[in-house]
Amino acid sequence: MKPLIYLDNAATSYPKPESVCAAVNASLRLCAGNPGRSAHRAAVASASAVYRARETLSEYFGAETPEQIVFTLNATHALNTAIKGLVRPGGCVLISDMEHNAVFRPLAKLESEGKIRLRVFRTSPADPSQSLKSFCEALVPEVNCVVMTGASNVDGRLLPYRESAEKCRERKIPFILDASQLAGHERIAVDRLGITALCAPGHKGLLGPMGSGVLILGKDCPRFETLLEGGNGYHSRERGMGDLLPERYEAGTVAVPAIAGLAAGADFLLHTGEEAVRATEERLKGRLLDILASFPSLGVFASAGPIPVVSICDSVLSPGELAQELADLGACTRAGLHCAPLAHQALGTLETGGTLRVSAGLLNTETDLNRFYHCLKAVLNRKKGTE
Amino acid sequence: MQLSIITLGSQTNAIKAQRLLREHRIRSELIKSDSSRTGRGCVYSLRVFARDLPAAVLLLDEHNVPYETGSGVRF
Repeated sequence: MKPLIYLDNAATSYPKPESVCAAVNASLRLCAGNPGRSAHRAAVASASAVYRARETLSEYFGAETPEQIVFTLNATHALNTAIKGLVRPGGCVLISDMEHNAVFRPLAKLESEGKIRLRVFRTSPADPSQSLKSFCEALVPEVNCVVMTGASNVDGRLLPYRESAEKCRERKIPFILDASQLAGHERIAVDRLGITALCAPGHKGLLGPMGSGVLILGKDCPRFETLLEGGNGYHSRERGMGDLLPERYEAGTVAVPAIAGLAAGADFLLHTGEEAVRATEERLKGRLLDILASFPSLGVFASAGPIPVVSICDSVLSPGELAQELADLGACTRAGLHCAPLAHQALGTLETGGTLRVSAGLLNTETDLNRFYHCLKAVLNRKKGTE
Repeated sequence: MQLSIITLGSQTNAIKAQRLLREHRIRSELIKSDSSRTGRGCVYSLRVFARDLPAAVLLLDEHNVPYETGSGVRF
C-alpha cells in the first residue's frame, strides 16, 4: 500500500489531532444521555459537555456568550439557517464572485422565487484593497444584506470581510460570513467585527469530525425565523421554538460526539496559537508553490494570502485525469468545480472542467509535500513520454 | 431545610446559571420541573437553599440570565 499523501484539506481536514479522536471516543463512551432532554446524570453529562464546547468556541470566535454558539450539521446547514432567516424579501443581496454553492444556491432559489435580487462584486486574488473597492461600489442603497465568503475554496484568496462587516454595521444591514475556508486558519472576532452571523464547518480548519458545524450569532443579531422546527427540550406545550438561544435554532438531538470532537479541535488551535498556525501554513503554502512552479506546463491559481489552497491546470491532462493519476500514486487532491461555479467563472475555468485543487492543512508535513512533488513529477513525466 | 426553585427554561440556560452560582459558592441542583406544573411543558430549573435565593437572583440579573422564581419546596 502506497503512503497516503493527503492534500484535500479544503474538503475536510486529515489527519485530526489525537485529542479530537480521544474526545469523540470519550463522548461515545461517557456522555450517554441526550442533552437537554432529562435531568438524570447521563443527560446532564452530555449537556455539560455540549455547554463546554460552546464555551470553547465562543472563546475561539470572540463571542460574548456561549449561547451565541448554535451547533449545526455542517456549514451549509448553518448558512441556510442564517440566509433564510436574515434575508428580507424585496431587497438586494450582495455576494462575491467567489461564493460556494452553499451560499449561492439558497440565494439563487430565493431569487428564482422573485423574493430577492442578487448582486455580485468582483474580487482580486492578489490585492484585497481592489476587492474592497469593488465591494464598496457594489454596496448600493438597495442592498439590504451581504453574504460573503472569507476565503475562496478554489484559490485561497482572502476577501476583505473585516472591512465589509464594518460597512454593513454602519449601514445597519446583516452581514453573514461564510467562514468555511477561513475558520481555523485565522481567528475571527465575531462580536468585535460586528458580524451578524458566522457559518463554519467543524471538520475543516477547525479540525473536528464531519457532521459538525457551527452558526455563531453576533451579540446584536436579532431573533429570526427558524429553518427547522421540532423538539428542543423545553416549553414542549408551545407551538413555537421559543426565544432562548441556542435552542431556538437547534431542533432535534444535537450531534454530541461530533461536537465534542469539534471542541477538542478548537481547543487544539487555541493551544497551538494563531501565530504558530499561520507560520506553519505559510511555510507549507510556500513549499507547495515552489513545487508547482517547478513544472512549467502547469497553470497555477494562487493568492497572496496565507490560506494554503491552490488550484492548478495542466496543458495536456484534464483536472480529472490529473487527479486520478495522482490518486493512483496515493496523492489525494480534488478535481472539478469544487461546488463553486461562480469562482470558476471568474477564473475562466468553468468551461474547461475546472481545476485540480491542492489544499494543505495544519497537520501536513514537509514530507507530505516532498512526496507529492515526486508523484506530480512521475505523472507529468509519464505524460511527456506518451505525447 | 427550606428550598427555592429558580426556573431557567432550557437546559443550556440552566447549566449556565448553575455554573455562575457555583463560581460564587452557591450550591444548586439541576432538575427538570414537572411539565404539568409549569403549564408550558418541560422546563429546567435550579433548586437552591431559600437563604441563597436573593444572592442567586442578583447574580442572574447581573449576568442577564433569564429566570422565574418560586419557593416553598421542601426536601
